Amino acid sequence: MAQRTVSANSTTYPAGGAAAINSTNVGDLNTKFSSGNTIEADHMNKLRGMLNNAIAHYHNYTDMYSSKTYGNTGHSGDLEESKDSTATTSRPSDATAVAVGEAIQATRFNQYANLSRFMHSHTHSISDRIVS
Amino acid sequence: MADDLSTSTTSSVGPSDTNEGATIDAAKYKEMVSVLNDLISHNHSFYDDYTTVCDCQCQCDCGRGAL
Repeated sequence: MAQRTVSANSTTYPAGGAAAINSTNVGDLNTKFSSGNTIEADHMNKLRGMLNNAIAHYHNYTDMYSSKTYGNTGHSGDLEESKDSTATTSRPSDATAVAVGEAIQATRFNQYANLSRFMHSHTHSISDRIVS
Repeated sequence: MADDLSTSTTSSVGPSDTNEGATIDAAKYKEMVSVLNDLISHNHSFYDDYTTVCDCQCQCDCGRGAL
């Protein structure tokens, strides 16, 4: 048995559009959450959509399950396959939406804050194939 | 069995919880946005177990005669 460290090849966030994790949406939220601005339900729900999208993301990686070495020909070949990790491990429940006219209470803010702290340090698991 | 978990840590930690009646300023929301920004390009390293197999294909057919 041998072991290697492999980095993910790609990241998939299930939702696109306003919930996509990209610089456009991040920039938009940074503008909305500026000092002196009124925070609207629409702003909160965009933040909510991105947080919920973030906790559902997963990665693609190359799972090597066997490395072959051919004795007298000088050739070698790895047996591997493309696989996806799970979504984030032990993730919290999705954040809930804010209705127009609803006051944003501490419990709602803390729900969103908890998701962002969770994403600060998160893990995924993989189903590691090992075949001779 | 290998550890197949990998932790990714963003530089932004996210805001602390707030208390009822406390003022929530823009900076606390921006801390959440900052975490999302860090996630755009984050990655993980997985520990990948595999076996090694010597698939020998020796086919010696030496005709050097009898000793």
